[in-house]
Amino acid sequence: MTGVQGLSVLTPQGRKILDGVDLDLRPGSVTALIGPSGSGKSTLAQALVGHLGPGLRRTAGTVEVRGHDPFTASGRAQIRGRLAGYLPQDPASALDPRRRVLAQLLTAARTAHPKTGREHRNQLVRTAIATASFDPNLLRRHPAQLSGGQAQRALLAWTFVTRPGLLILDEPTSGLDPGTAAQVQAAFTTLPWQPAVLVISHDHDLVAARADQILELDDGHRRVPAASPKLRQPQAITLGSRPRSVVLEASGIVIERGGRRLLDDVTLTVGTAEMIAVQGISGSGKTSLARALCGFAPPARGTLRVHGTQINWDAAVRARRRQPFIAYVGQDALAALNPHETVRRTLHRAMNAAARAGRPAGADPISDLALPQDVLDRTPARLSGGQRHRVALARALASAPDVLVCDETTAALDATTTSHILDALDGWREKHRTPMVLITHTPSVAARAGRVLTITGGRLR
Amino acid sequence: MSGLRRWVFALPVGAVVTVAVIGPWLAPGSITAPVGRPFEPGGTAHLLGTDVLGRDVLARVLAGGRTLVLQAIAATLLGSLAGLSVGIGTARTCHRRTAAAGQRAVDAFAAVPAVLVLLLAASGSAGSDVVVAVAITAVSIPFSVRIIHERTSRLITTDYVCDARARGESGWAVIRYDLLPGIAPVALAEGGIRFVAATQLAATAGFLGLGAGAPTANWGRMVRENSTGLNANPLPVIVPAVLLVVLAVGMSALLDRLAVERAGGLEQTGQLA
Repeated sequence: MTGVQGLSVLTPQGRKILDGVDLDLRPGSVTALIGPSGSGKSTLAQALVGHLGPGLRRTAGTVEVRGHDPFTASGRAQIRGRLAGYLPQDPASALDPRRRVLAQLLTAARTAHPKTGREHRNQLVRTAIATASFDPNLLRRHPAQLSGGQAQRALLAWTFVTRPGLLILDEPTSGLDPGTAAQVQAAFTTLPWQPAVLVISHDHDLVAARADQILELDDGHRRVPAASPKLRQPQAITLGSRPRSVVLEASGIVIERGGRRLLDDVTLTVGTAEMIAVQGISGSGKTSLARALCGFAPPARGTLRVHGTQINWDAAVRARRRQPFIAYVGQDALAALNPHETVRRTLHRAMNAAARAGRPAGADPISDLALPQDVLDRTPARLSGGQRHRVALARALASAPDVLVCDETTAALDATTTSHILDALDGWREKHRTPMVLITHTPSVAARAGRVLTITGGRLR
Repeated sequence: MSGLRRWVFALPVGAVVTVAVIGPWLAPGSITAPVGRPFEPGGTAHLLGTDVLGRDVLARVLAGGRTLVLQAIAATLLGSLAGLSVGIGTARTCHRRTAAAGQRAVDAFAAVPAVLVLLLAASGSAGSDVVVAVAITAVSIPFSVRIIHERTSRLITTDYVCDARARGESGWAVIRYDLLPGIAPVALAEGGIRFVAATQLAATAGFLGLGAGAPTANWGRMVRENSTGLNANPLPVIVPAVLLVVLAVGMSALLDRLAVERAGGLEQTGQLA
């Protein structure tokens, strides 16, 4: 039997993250876990593999996975990598950066099925990557050479390789375009060995179409699921009547990856206070484009002008020469935040940096982004996945960028929070006239942008 | 990490360092004048007996640790400081050639045997304890630089460091907030290993008769001087040797503990309290 009885988890300050939660996971059924950002979803999922975040304490309740207790050392050894497969929220941080994907999948196969032959393990890996819609041509790559969505599917393949009786998927489709997301959903709900699946998702279509039971968490309590909240009717906001001048102008961008041309002669212009959305299937080069614009990975060719002056492709050089700052809010919020510092200091430093570089200081972004005030004294490890994304966004806003690029910032957030953040971005745009580029898979988010561009076959249209 | 476990490691180290540092003031009687026949066993008159020249072993043990411990501590601290500055500096610099040249120079220096450096330095200015400390520092710097450089170049490519540099934060702020907290556990563990090496080298220097000359007491030299009388009175060899081992092992274990704590400790496993 697999499940949780009366589980209560407390923070060091005594706040209840989970309060007497019961959960029964039956083989072959899909359980959806929903609830607002920070409501304890990931804590509950991690408890199933015997992990608690830093400082958290279990005060009551039991957890059982096929008769093993994950809170004992021997139980954990049985459960992790064997009885349970876990897909974490920030997939790029979860893969070993120094080993190729294939090597990692074979290791997973050997851990879970130690007595099988090499041929059988290869077969397991082939089946798993096909089920996870992972392109076999990417097997020889290192994780850093994968896009966010590809890394997510590589990890999904990892969990399929082990053929676990319990499959825990934390936002499994957040980095995927709608087509691939549908394939992946179909895959993990129809697995031949009939595992119990626990899926955390903000995707209401996924939850409604695929889940056999829905568990909604609200502030650590189990709640009877209400009708799913709908995103506010999407509407593109046209701001003001002032003439819109071009702020960012990128032309002739060529980006190459692994000898292949990922983007070919891409041109992009963004005007004052304009918000544009960039779409494209997983692995089409959206993040590469964003990182190039923000000065983290220079393209092979291309020029970039901001306010008419050409600027350097290296962010550190831009800062040294006092050129405009293009802020990047990345896909992997765990990697983007310094694990050693509190949110308060992160934001404080960002504001200082803005003042130092002579950019106008922005307002306090914390309340704008619907973050509770008590996150200020926490380190990233003590934030929920959605909170981390919002802190990364708050840091970018606090440093008063000339252009803001957001890469899937709302993918890990529930509909209400997403809509709140988009409102905050609109407010910011109106006040500071900052142009914004949103990279998103979600059509309802893209609908809020003034223009929607799509990357197809290396071109941006 | 419970406070108790930390004390278990801190106590012996603290005791040895205290004995070494305040010992010379506590030494009963002269450390150079003979008080009996050579290698008298310990007794009521002389707690640890006498050494090869009939001098009081207790007095010499108390007097013989200060130089050695201070040499080891100074060499470790100076080595860490130099290692941190050069390691972080070469990892951060944009001038690749300067960084590569610095690395090669450090590697070349690491290839020179430590004892050779000690002998050369000591023969240059004989009888100086400070020169011995400087030589030990110089010998240990290359290892520190390598490890700190490796760790820093890993941290410097993380998204949060890239972001801080893109925002236009000062180099000092990036080092203070983004790099040092990540380097600290490594630097502590590495400092522990170097302290063991520095203690050994300081004892070797005493053993070889480098630094302050013969009549002064030195734990390292005591081991050599009195090894001939192990059968009659083993204490003048065993006591300084044990003190050296406790100091070296205890200090590296203590720094390891601190490093684990800095790194956030082990994984929480949710045992009911």
